[in-house]
Amino acid sequence: MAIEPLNTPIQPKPTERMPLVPLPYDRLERVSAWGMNTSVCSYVYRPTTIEGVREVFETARTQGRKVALRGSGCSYGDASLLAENISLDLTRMNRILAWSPETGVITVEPGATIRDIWRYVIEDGWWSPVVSGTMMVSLGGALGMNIHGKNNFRVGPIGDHVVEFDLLTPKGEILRCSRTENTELFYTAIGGFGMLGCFVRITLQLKKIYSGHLSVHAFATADLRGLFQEFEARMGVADYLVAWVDCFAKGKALGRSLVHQADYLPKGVDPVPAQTLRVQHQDLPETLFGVIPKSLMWRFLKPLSIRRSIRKVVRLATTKPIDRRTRHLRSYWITYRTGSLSISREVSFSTRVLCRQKRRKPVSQPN
Amino acid sequence: MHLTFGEQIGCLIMPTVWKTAIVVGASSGIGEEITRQLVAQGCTVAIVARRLQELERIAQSLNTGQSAKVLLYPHDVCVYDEVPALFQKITHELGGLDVIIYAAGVMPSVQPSEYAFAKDRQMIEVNLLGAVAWFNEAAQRFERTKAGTIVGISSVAGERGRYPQPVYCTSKAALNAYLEALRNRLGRFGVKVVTIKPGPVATPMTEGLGKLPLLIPVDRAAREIIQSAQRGKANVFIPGIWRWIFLIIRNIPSFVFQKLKF
Repeated sequence: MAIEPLNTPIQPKPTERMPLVPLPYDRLERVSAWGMNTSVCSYVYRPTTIEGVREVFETARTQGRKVALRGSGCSYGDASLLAENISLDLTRMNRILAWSPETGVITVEPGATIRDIWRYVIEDGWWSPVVSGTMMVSLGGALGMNIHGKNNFRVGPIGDHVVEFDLLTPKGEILRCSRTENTELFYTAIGGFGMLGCFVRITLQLKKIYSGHLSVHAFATADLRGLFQEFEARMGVADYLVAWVDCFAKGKALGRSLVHQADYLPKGVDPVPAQTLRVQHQDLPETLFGVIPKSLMWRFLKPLSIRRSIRKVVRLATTKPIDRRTRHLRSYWITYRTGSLSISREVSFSTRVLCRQKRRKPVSQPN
Repeated sequence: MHLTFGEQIGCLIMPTVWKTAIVVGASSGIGEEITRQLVAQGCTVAIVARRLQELERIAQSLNTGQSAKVLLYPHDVCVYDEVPALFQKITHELGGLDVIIYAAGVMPSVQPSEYAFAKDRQMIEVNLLGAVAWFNEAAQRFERTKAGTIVGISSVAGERGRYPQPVYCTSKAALNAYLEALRNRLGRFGVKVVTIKPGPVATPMTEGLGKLPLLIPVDRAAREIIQSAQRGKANVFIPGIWRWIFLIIRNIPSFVFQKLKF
């Protein structure tokens, strides 16, 4: 730097548009997307009340910052990330405000996860109508993204099951939205990526169930055509359908898959519903074979998670039933009776089903 | 993601890539050249200096593409109160911060028997207190985000209290101590703090000082600074030969050093 005349005594001169009080550094955190491949630095606020959310909006306005709403942060992409701006984390607003076991209508705050909800209601015989691949999603985020489950063809996305919600707009007013009130906002805020405001109260219609178990039917399809045929044939009857496609298959075998169909048990099939509907009954054991802690399992599986072994496993899973030369696709119905499969597991831990089915003999086929 | 062995090794030994940087004191000399080279690497740089005209000149010559690669912020490093808000404004507009480089520095000519407090105060304020004000902000941020690089352009002058420039040496020695302490505080959070100690570099600061030993052009200095900072070195002499020269000078006993006018 060149030498220039000396300064006059120091005068603080705040520049225009600049916030007088900077945002506090203890709010600054590294916020990452679900896959942990992208992360940004944001000022994170975790309010517990509607008043707190309002304050965050007000802070953002005075500071000239934008606000990114964030629930459990389970979006695959960067939907909940906004670098150097305010991240409004709603996970602490997770209270259940009202629950009616007669009608199955529940009112929650947006940070409540689908896991929170089913654990609260399952003993009354109710279940979340839509469950995504992970049950850790917050309901606010689920509604903002209008998520779907593996039963989308039957029941649609989660927005179809919302009775009403309260939306806090950036102006600070709370609007009650339903199919009869503020309808336009109701239909745009569901799946609106949180651009229109923050859900502060959500009322959801749940699904009645009569057992903590599902009946699961697993079978393989030889190719893409077979896969679509199976799906189209079952779309009207199945409650859940999911295909594990062998992405290594090529040529004629393209689309070779393992399909799982799961159905709710009708009333009366489960002889002990009060037992199977218990939360404890839905929890998987912490150990494998009662010995190996599951928290260690990844260490054993990691060396196997290479292309060659994955290819073999997938091939085995998707072709073995056909190789047995039964003319029809080998398939079997199983109703697990003792805690080997339950609804939450079907949805969250489907991989395990595959392993268990191989070990167990097929049981009777219900009609 | 599937990486070959070579790519995996490459990730380990390749120097860090910076996407966003702040250069304080970027209106001339080393700061300007660092800005130019960072922009050439594809980095977005916020340049901070007192003289708006100079900033605009640099921005004009570098902002040739579609998106602005240089954002300019006129600011006097002696106005410390402004720094916290300005720092946040810059990180907001940059959308992140990977590295902060403090290149502001003054060295007014001082006669052997001159004890001008005004000049001394300016040197302490620009060379030391400005750096402290900026790096304190960066340190808080990097500690929270557990990443980042802090680069202080000090000087070989900080190695010994020398005859011609008592307060310049003081300011740089103090800066060295400050940066070392910062490194000890932030190293455990994965933050790199780099002390750069250049010898004479051909910049407006050294103009008219006569023939200087081992004078290097500014582009070479900037290149070496960026390289060593990206590798996260702690103490860097520019050029490297000064490390050995100052190893000797540091060890000259005081009764000999008094006799020298070096």
